[in-house]
Amino acid sequence: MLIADQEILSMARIPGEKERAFSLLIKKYQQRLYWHLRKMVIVHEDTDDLLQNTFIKVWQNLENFRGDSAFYTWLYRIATNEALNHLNKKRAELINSPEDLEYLLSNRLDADPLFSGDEIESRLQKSVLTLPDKQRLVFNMKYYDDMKYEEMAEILETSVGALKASYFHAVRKIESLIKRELF
Amino acid sequence: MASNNKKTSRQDGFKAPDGYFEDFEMRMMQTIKGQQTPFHSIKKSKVIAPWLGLAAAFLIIALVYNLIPQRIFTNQMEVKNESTSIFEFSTANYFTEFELIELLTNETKINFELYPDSLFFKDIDEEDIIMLTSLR
Repeated sequence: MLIADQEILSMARIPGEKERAFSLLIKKYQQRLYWHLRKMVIVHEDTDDLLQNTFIKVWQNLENFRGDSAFYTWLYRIATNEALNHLNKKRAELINSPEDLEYLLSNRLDADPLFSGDEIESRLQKSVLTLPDKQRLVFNMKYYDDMKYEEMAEILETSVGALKASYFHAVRKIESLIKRELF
Repeated sequence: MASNNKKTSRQDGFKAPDGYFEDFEMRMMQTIKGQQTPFHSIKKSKVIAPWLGLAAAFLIIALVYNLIPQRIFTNQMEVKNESTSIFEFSTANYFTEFELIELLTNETKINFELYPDSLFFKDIDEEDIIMLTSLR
């Protein structure tokens, strides 16, 4: 049975109990955050680095979490920032390269032994990769993670209307690409 | 938020190496234990002092570079400032991030066909679709 976030946070504030609370947090959230990050950065090794960075930041700031937002919102926000920063950094590294990041990640999917999706999944992933990072984020959170717009709005610090518009455009673009069989 | 099981089991073609999550927890716990190792405390002032000195030196240099030419070439500086401000206008200042995304994704507009029964449309009902499409 999963322990409620509030209980874990209370435990983290008890002297000598922080490690146990942190271990419970990892157990509870590592998979969700892993798949969230993996769909953004595609490569397992990069996902692993980002997931570690995320949890290290959580560990360092656990006492400072004031509870203004839901705990998982805070975790998702840290992980999301890690992913976006990583993608920006990768893009900066490729600035003089003829190939762009989306192309490289798309190729990586075909060769990745840790991607075993069928043709439809592969085509969908490649279509999703053509979206701008933040729109891709919105699409992943809605389509794959089945999050509510209100939760997404809290994580991404934007309005529900903006998210609906972003998701709507993402879907339009993906459907158009798939329909034209560009992927 | 949807149930935890639903989220953790869904991988959508992606796989993690066998035993990755069991191993990850262990690695993380080792990492944070490593972070807790005691270190020699250093007085904050000792660390900050040289940097403060450097910052002060830069500040003085920056002031000298900015103020002296301004006093000597006052007229020329004003002309230069006026000309640059005209080109600093950017439409991006007037849009939010998502509005910009919306503008940038307009390229698909011509070939667009609306599929209101699409499986992709989650929580976007007909009313939302009408609202979103009538915005154009």
